[in-house]
Amino acid sequence: MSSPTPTPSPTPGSGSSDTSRSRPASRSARPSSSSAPSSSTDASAPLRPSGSAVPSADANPAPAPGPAPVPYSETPVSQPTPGAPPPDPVTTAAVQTALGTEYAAVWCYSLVEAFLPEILDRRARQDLAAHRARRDLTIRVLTDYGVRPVPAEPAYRLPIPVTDQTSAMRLVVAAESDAAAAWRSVLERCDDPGLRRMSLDGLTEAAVRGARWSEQLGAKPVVPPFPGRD
Amino acid sequence: MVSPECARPASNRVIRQIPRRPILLGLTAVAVAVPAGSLLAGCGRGEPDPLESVAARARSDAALIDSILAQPTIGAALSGRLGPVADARRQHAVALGVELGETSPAPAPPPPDPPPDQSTQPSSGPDSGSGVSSQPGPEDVLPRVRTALDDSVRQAGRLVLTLPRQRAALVGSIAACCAAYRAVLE
Repeated sequence: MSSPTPTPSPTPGSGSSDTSRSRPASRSARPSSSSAPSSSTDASAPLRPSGSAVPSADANPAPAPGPAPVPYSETPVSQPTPGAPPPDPVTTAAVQTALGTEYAAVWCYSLVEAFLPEILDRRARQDLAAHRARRDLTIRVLTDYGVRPVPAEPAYRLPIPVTDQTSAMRLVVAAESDAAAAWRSVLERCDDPGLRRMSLDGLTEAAVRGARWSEQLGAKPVVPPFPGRD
Repeated sequence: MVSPECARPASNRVIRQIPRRPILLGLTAVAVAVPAGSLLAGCGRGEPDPLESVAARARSDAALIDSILAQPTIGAALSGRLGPVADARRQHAVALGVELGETSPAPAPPPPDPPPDQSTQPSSGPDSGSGVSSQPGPEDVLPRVRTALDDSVRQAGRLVLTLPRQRAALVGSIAACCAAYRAVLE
């Protein structure tokens, strides 16, 4: 069922760059079916890298290069149907988890920029912008539901130490895999067509970005047959 | 003086003679039965399971790619890129077959009998409808696969909105997979 994802093992200090942004870590943002949505910000809190400058997932705007990410869907705007009945707690919990993976993805992309050459860095910035947009949309949706969006964690634990271009790309592949799983989980837990469209876009875009990075890594297959599931 | 009493007794008597409860029960039964019947007719045998069309597309995509890969002009690089797509589509067909309750391992898409020689190109092509009759060069192979995947993404994307939850997730993953392959086949 669950695909290999960043395991939350306490990464032993990889001695080198302890100062700045070195180790994020994707907390396993995998949606656990029915976890409490709001109260668990501490329970699921990932390790915080001692240090200082965390590439905060909230540090919003930043250089948003490139064109706005285009959702891979027919409908231009995908979000919950206006006036639809508020979703049940299972649905909102899944959306909260998805929001958590978007925070983590923003954090990961912020981290890897330093390890990528110019061309790849450009793509990373575009993907970062896409995750920021989706994060903001998700926050809006939860707020419209009358649910308080979970806050971003200050930092995330790395599944693998990021020391070079390859490990940086592996990290974003893992982050995309987490995001795909989370949005698929929303799909599995909601009925509103608008929210489904939004979830499908989240799942699809994560799969597309993950496939591009996997291709860059030379991994095969570039995308699992059932993104988000395995 | 108008006295209503004179007319009333007669009609009341008539009404009283009709047993009301059975009538009400009967009407209720009809009211329940009609919508239930039409509902059953809607989701029952009459219409095919919507997943069947998704499975059919998965099989036809796999068949299309298999027929392309069977051509001798296809280089190793291209077949290395397309092979995994066909594999994924076959897995989609199998998973959908399971969901559809197909007991046999699905009307598996056997690799279309390869037409190794372009000398004989009879009308009985291996794939029905996809049209791989001519001998295309690799340059127009990718657009055809991309078009097929685009169609599959659209089809699955539409269905995701209305399917039951678990099926929506399955078809959503299939749509995402097709979209991802389509993106890297640029």
